[in-house]
Amino acid sequence: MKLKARLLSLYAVSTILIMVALGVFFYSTLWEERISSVRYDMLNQLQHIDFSLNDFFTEVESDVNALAVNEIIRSKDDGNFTSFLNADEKTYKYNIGDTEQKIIDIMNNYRITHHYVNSVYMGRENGSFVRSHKRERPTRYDPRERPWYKLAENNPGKTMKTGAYPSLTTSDVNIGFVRALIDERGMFYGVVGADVTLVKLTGYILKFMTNPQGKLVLLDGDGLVLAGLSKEMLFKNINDYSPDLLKIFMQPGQQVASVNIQNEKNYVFFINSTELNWKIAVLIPSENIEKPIIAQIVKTISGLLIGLILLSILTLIGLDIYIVRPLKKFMDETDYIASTSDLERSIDIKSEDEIGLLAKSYNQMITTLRITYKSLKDTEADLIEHRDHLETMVEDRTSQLQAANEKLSAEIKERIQTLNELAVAKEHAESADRLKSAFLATMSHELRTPLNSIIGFTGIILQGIVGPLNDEQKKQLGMVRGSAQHLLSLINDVLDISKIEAGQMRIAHENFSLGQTIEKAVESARPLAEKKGVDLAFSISPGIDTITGDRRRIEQILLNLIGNAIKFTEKGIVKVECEQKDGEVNIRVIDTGIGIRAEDMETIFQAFRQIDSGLTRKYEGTGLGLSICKRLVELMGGKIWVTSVWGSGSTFSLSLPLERKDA
Amino acid sequence: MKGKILVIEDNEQNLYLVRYILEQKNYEVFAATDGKSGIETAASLKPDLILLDIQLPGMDGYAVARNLRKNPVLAETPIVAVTSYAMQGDREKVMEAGCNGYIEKPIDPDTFVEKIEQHLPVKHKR
Repeated sequence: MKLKARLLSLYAVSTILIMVALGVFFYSTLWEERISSVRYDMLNQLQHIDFSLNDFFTEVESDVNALAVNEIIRSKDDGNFTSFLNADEKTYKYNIGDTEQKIIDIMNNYRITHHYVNSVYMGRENGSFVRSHKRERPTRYDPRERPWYKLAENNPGKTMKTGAYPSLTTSDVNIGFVRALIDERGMFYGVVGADVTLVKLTGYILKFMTNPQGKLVLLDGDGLVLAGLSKEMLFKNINDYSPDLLKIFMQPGQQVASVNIQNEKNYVFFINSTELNWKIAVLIPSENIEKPIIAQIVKTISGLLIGLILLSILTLIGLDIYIVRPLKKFMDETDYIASTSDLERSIDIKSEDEIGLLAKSYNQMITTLRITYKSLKDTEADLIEHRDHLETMVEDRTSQLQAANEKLSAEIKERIQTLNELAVAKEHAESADRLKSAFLATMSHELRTPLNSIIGFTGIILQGIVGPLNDEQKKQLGMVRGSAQHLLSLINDVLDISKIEAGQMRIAHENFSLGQTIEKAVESARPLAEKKGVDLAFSISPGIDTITGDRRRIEQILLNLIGNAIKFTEKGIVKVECEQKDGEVNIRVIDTGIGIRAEDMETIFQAFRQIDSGLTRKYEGTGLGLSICKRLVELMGGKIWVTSVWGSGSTFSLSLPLERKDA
Repeated sequence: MKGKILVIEDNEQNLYLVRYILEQKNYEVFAATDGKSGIETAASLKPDLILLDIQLPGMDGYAVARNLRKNPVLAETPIVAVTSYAMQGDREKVMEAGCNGYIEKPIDPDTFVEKIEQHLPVKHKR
């Protein structure tokens, strides 16, 4: 079912897309056609109306001409026209004579036979006024002051058309056709006229509308509504109806435009009537133009929809027959195998299509499975037999292993206990060691305080500030100072070694010139060498420059090694060499002294070791110097070692990295 | 007199030695034998320089230096530590506490005064 649902939704989506696309396409093409056909139709009709209006006005004009030449109406005697002048202003009762009555009859007759004519009238130079029918609300009135009268008077010999004007006595809007009365001698003596009412004109022109979808409007040059629209709009400016519409009309030459009137979209078609200087327009709601198009589109799309639905149904039926049902067969088969493990059945589909091929290959697969399954069964039986045997073997081994395991556990427990005991012992030892180092540091410090005053006071006395000294006193005080300074150096050594052992020795990290440091050390040892008569030399290979390390400690090491070399050399030379190689500097202190015995070589760098008690007596020292040197060098990441030949000299070598890497 | 120097030192012999050397060089020497009295004397005396032993009974030299620096009157007074603490890193600790210089014990009478005068204002120099 799922496959069908998917296909169905695919159809639905594509159908909707096709419908929308077609709808849009039809609408836009049909709209173009429709609007141009409506435009053609409308403009034709408007031209026709324009023509008819002209015709109509020409007819009224000729009627007025006919009235103007009527002998009775042309009656010259003003004495016949006194009823209007003499009428009582309160009652407006007229005393009408024969001639005047005849004229009234002619006029009224004309009015009745021409239904679009509102009134027929005559004004005269004596101020009298004759009209086809009685005025509904008579008032005081002088025709000579009226615009229509003046228009005719100023244009003798022609029939004139007044502009549209509202009637004084009724709510109508009128257009008058007037002509001057001139006698044989050329004297002007009155005006004859007929009014066409625009309410009736609206009815007249509406007769020409063959298309009732829109509203016809007649406007004068300023946009005043002369006919059409509603009665309320008559003689009002179109601006009150729609300002947009006025703008459209005021643009020259434009004949069609769309405009929104009271939230409704309208199309306006109009022409300029050149004869009358009017505009004749028709307003059609766009809905009316659209209607036929929509109807057509709905018709087309409905047809298509039915076609597509039929196609969908046929496709789904095909899907069911050719794909879904065969698949169901496959599903039934696989379900059967899953639940029964029976591989003896096959699928019966004989068709030549892909489904048929699938069935064939499925059947082959089942056959292969059947064979494989059978051989698996055989193997399984063998395996079960083996397994049973294996289980007993495993049980045997397991019990053996358990026994061994227990034994091992006991041993491990014992070992752990030993380890714990060892850790406690180590802790004790380390704590004792720390105490020893702290004690030595404090002691060294305490010893330096009294030495300060001993060395200080002997110095002052030796300077002779306190008082003059004899030579023997100077000699003995010099010995005191020498002994005190020796004591100080011993204390310093003890302090150093205790600091190193307490892990408090910190190595500085500064850039300095190794060459200068070597030179300084050599020069400060020179007085000692000269005193002993030993040559002292140094050589620094080129390329030795600034290195990074602890300048003071390196100086201390060098002083120690050079001092030792001088101390153990009776005659000959002490030489310091320095060279750079593979990121290291190598410094050698070479002497031609007594050398070191092979058996002493291993212990020479250990603390508190005396090589020879006899030697110690001869060469004073703590035996700490080399030990301190070795530890300092190692703290700096370097190495120190000695080569020696007993009786002919020793060489102490040290190598230091150029850039110390922190451990 | 070339200037007033306050020596804060608990060891009688060392105090005598320093006083003697400085007086020989015409300095006026005042002494205090513990940190507390040293701080008080410094505040009233306003010395030109203070020589400070680091290992003092009670309040140690570091604390004394820090305390002296808190007094605005003594903010600029040079303090030179004189100590037998020769451990590496002691110099840094001493400078951190607010001292201007550091002389290791035992002192050398030949160079002692010269070292101190490096820290004295110019007017007192020879």
